[in-house]
Amino acid sequence: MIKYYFLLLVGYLAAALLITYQNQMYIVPVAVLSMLIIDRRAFRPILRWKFILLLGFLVFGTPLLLGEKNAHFFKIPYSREMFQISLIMFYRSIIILGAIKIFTNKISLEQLSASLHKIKLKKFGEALTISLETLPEIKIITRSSIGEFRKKEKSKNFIREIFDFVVLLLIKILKFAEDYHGRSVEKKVGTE
Amino acid sequence: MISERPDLSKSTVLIGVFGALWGLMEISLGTLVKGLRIPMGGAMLTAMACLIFLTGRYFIRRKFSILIMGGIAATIKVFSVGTVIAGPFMAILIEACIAEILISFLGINRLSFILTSMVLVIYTIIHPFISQGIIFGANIYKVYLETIQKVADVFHASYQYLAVIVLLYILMHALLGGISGWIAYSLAKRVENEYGQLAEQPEKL
Repeated sequence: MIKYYFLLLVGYLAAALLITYQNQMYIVPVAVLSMLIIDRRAFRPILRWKFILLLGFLVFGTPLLLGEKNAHFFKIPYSREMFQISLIMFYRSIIILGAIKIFTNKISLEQLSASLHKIKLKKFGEALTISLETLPEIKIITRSSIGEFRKKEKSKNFIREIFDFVVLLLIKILKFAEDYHGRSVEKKVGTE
Repeated sequence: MISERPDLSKSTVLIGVFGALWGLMEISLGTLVKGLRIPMGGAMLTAMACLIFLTGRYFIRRKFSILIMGGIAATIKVFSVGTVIAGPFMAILIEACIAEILISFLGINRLSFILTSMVLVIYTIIHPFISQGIIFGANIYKVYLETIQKVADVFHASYQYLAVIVLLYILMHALLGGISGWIAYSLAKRVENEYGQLAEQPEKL
């Protein structure tokens, strides 16, 4: 499954890199339609108003403001070269961001970590698995430490207090890592 | 310092834990900073990330550990929220690469921590141009250059003034990075001392 979505990601990235003004009519519809069929949710982040505004300015604002004005649209002068450049940038960004989103929507972190174990990135896969296992506990430690820090009476030297808080948090994290390692070694001995 | 072990070593556990902490910081504070539109927010996030991974690296005397921590943080970030996060993902990976190279060459000392943090925080200025270059293609630079030219023409500003502004901006970032590196080394030293003492009296924790 992960192999399929990885190849799909590579394929879309390659397609995005190969887009030119001449071949856009073939590449873009195929890429966007297939993305919509595979995962419609992939376009959700792209449809946010901030992103639409940015792309809108890129495609329509840039040709109106920059470059040599050598074409007209309803008597409004614009730069044809800038319009072509902006359009390709727009298509490229949509395909790249959509492809990344499809990959992260379809693949879970656990699946990714498991497949990293199989390939040569064993060390990374091992560390990622530990991260995923420890993340909830690290969240709890961090939240409880912040809670304790907020309740504590504050002295005049606020910077010193923050420094002390971070020192204590890191000590707790190190202690937790030590315990986690101890537990994993015990588990291994137990299973043997 | 934590010694190496042949099976699941303490260093692998520490890499995982510090990578998770870095990732957690990126998804919590990263979202907050982005939402509040704090000026130099990216630089501040990088400065905080430096505190985490440099402190982690102080305790993990193993090559490529920053790179793995960065890989973990970037993976957690990209799988976390439903927004367009290709930029931060690339930023974390590139920053981890730069830090790994610098720490490998300079070793673990206060100066290397300061220099690494400075370089990384300064890098946050260039990063948007690199990530946008990847996403939009090299033509985006043409748009940027023409825009700068146009703005300079409108305000009749000379390139000298622009250069001074850019230089000041870089200096502010360098200062922030320097402070972050300095604190990271002090933090690691103090954690090492206090953790050593507490290990002898575990009931205090």
